[in-house]
Amino acid sequence: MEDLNEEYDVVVVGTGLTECILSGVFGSEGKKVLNIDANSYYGGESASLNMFDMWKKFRWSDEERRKEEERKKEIEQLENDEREAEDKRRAAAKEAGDESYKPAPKAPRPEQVGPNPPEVFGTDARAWNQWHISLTPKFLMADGELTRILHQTGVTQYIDLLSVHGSFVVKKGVPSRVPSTRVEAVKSPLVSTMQKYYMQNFLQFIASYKEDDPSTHKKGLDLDTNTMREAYEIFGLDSWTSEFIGHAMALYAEDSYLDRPAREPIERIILYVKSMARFGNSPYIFPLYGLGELPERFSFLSAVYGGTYALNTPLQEILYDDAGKVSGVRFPHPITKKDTVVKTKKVIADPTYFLGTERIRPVGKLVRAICVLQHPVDGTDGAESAQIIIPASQMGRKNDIYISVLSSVFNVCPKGFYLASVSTMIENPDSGNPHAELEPGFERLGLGAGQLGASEEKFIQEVDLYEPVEDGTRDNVFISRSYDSTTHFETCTDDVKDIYKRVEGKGLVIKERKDKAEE
Amino acid sequence: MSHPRASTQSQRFAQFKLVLLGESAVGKSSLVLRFVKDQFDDYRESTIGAAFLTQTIALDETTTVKFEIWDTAGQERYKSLAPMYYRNANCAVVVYDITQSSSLDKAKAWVKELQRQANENIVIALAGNKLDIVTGDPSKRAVETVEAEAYAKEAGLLFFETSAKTAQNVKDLFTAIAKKLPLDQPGPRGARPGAGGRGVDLKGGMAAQQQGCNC
Repeated sequence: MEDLNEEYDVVVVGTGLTECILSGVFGSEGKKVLNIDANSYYGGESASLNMFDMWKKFRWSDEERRKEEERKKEIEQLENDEREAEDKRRAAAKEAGDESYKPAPKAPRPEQVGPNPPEVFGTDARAWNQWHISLTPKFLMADGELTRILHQTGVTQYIDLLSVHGSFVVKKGVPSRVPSTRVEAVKSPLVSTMQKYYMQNFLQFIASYKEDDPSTHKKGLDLDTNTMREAYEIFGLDSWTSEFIGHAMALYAEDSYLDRPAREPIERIILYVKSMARFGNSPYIFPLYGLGELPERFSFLSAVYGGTYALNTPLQEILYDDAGKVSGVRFPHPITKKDTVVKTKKVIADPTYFLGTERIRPVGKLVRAICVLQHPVDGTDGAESAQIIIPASQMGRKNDIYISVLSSVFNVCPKGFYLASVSTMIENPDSGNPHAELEPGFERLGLGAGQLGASEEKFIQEVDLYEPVEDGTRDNVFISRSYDSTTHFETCTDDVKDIYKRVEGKGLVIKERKDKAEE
Repeated sequence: MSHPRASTQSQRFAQFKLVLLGESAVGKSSLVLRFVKDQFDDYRESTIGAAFLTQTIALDETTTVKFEIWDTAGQERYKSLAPMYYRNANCAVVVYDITQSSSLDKAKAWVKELQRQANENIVIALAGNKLDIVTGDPSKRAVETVEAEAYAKEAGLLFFETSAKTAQNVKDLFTAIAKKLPLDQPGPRGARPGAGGRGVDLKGGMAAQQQGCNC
């Protein structure tokens, strides 16, 4: 059996979306890539889990999970031992010309310690596999960078994306569709009669804006010297109108952007409007079978180009040469579990492999509840999928609450169920009850005051967000950022481009892969 | 792309996703290469480059079956095959090497995995490859035909001993699978009809967009 190479151009640690896109890109450039992950599944923080793995992650105790790991190791050991013993016996029987040889019966396997999910969510692996619950529920912007990368790399050949049914913003407890065209602005209850004219002008400006055509620019507005606050004033937009534009279209979760240059928010609004124009209903698209599809498909792309993947393989140590640069990595061999060292000059890794080290620093903490519902969400016209934003000002908070809703239409859960994720940045880490910060979101889902239907579930998680302390060029260890609280992947693809530039010293140009299935 | 697709009443056309499984170096890619291109390469390196191939076979004058065949791209080597690989597979060819007894154990483990996790109606064929080696030198055989056949029968699998090198039984293997697939009922979804026409087409407008993109 072929084994691991002695040397790789790049070792990628973790199989999150950022890491998998990068290994796909490096692989397609002809580099030798080894990708390892401590988990037994692809995707890391951006994985989709089936119902059994969800239950294990959220409902089992640490002790139960530890015992399960031991059990898996025991079974693997038993299988290896039995196979070796069997090979010997079989060879001996053949040698002796013994025709009556039969394989020995197998030893009983140790039993699972932790509980299975409730029966209503399925009773066997096949049923649990009907669930694809995204740990970091985000959507793709239809006209965004990730969509472009999917298209250019040819990954869209193997993946189905559906348009999300609606994009809503909540005002005074009522969700309304976010208007993105002049016609919608006229009809939208979100825009007051007084503001309709100004909003139409603003959307007209957004729709026609071209960087290199001054006739499309707004007189008196310089995107680099004026702040966004000033931009809103120039367009005559009042505080509520500018709030929903900033939060539901530019997709800022809080207001610090107001005092920064107008360029970034304007670009984000343009992205929203262009994305909206692609498929209608909403600017978002989402993959069938959940977000875990994305890292899985990129890993497959990388493997097709020769990339090597090893799950269940934790990084044990990064080795350095005398100059302090990476020289290799150490990990247990994925099959034999023997201590293994491979040479490499570059390591790309996600921040979860450096918890508790000086290499990363926290940039915030969010709380997220993934809710399994048996009813659609009120006020969304029964939409099978939706993004709902509750602006901070509506709740007396600094940060918005994001709600994303998906249903069996996306093959992420069995018929009749809905998956709703509610998340926000934690504002009072010392309150002792960060889950309470999600309450306005729960109310929107009909889960206020702890209410939960008989066959419904809430999986609540606090997530620390990290960024690397250094850019990686000193020692060639390049660390990605955590998936942030935004509703989409634009910051993830920014990170991909940024890491590529740090690793290669030049900008990323994606090689187009146009080939079809060979006939 | 829904399937099976009936173009006229007398013509039947169906498309199915077929996945290959088995230990490294048992000849998975070689079997496909023989089936799809009628080629064989003695020194073929591990699978690099081909994500999936398609091949159409005519079962009779009115029935055509198209296989979309997914190769593992080597991700099985360290037990790191992504679930998306066999998700919605209509059929699987689980390959072992008849000169390596341990490869049958591995094949059995894959069968068990498929029967536990994959589509309920998946058609599985067990293929003992490298028959040419044993034909040349019977002492090289490590897995007896009767042994593998008995196992296949018990597990409800189609069974063939094949040679990708000489093409022996290769076409028969795929034809047998095609015959066993449910051609007449709208069975489990085929290769890529997951979205059933609901999926968005990213190509729409993309070209125009790229011109204006200076990234």
